[in-house]
Amino acid sequence: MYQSFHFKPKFDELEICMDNVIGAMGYSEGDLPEGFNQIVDEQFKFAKKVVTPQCGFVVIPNNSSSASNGIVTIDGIEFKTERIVASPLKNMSGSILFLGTVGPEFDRWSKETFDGGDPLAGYIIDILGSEIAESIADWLANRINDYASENGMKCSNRYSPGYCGWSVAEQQKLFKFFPEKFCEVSLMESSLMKPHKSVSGIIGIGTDIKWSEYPCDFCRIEHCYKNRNN
Amino acid sequence: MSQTLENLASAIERGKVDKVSPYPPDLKGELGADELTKQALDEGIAPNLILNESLMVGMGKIGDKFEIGKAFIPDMLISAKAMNAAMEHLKPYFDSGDMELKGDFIIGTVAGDLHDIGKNIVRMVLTGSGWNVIDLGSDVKADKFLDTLKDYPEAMVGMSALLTTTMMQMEETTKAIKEVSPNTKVFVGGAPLSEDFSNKIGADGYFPDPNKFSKFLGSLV
Repeated sequence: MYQSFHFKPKFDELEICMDNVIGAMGYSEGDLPEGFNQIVDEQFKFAKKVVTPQCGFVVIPNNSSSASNGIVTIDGIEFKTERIVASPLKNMSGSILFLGTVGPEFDRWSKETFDGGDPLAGYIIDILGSEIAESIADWLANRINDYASENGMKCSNRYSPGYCGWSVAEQQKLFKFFPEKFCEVSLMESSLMKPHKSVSGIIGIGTDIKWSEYPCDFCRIEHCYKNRNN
Repeated sequence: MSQTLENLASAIERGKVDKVSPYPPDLKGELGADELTKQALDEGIAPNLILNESLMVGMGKIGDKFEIGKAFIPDMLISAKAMNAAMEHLKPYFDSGDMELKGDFIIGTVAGDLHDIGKNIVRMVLTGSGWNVIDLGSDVKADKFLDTLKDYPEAMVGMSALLTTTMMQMEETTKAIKEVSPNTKVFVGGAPLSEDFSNKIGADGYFPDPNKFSKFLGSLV
């Protein structure tokens, strides 16, 4: 058993960036057509009632995490992450595996809205869900940073299966490190999480590790929708 | 073109679904696609004319704006919603055989991928363009596409993926379909894909947006 921490942050504690939401819809700041902003505001207000954030992390002890040549090894388990993820983790001495979710009601709300004849609201809800999930992961990353600081260590950026060439199938291995029913997130046979708007991943910790920008500049994936350079 | 058809085309382009819909704000209280389609039918305008000379015109205009970056997915969605409201009035003519659908189109997000928004948008645009769309949902395995093809042997197939790691499922599914039914057209879409990828896996085309795809499919009929 690994040491684990579990949190239920309040919605108002999350730093949700509405510019990101509007940007994901395709519009630049101030370009959102009149009428759409009202729909975004309405859905955001409702999201506050539907989202039940949960998140947590497990601590992998020092000297049992390593990374080199596109492979991250955690307590003897190898993750084929590609170099984009492994390189910034190469100086880690320990690692943190994390999980966060918007909660189970969100998927149902999103699907019911889209299928129920309001695809625009459904689309906006989907984008809001992604942004809220990311804000939960950011909130958790701050707690992880606090934990690392208290133990005289620093943190890497956070990396998740499904991105940067790290196969989503490897989430199966990642989940084996979590306590049972951790954050009430389960993994489907297809390796995707349920609730859908959940984020899992790894943060390297150590005295020599550095936080580095997301490595989109080095990625070979031209059309990745998460590309932060777009 | 009659004034009603012009107004209807405009309602589709602007995404004015019906009289009570609040969007777009400057058309508040005006008739929407729902009422205008009924009005056109009441005026004796042939359903085919309503579809081709009005609904498709409006959808084409917003689609063209989308292609050049003057409109975005929300604009397409609200137009598609208006289109679908109009199509409800034309449905009886399709059902009775007075109007013919363009064909059957099977669509799904590939196995391992739950991201279905893009797929749903394509479904709405194709439905609004007169296709019978059979939506298999998300996380669809190759077997399910094959089983559905048994029921719709003339159908074309569209697959969607958002994750770079799940788009590889498209190759497996395309091969499985082509093995059983070599003449079935298979198309792929999704943010991480490319024309090269489509060619590499043996698919019949990659389309970056629903409007281009709808136009292309229309050219096959």
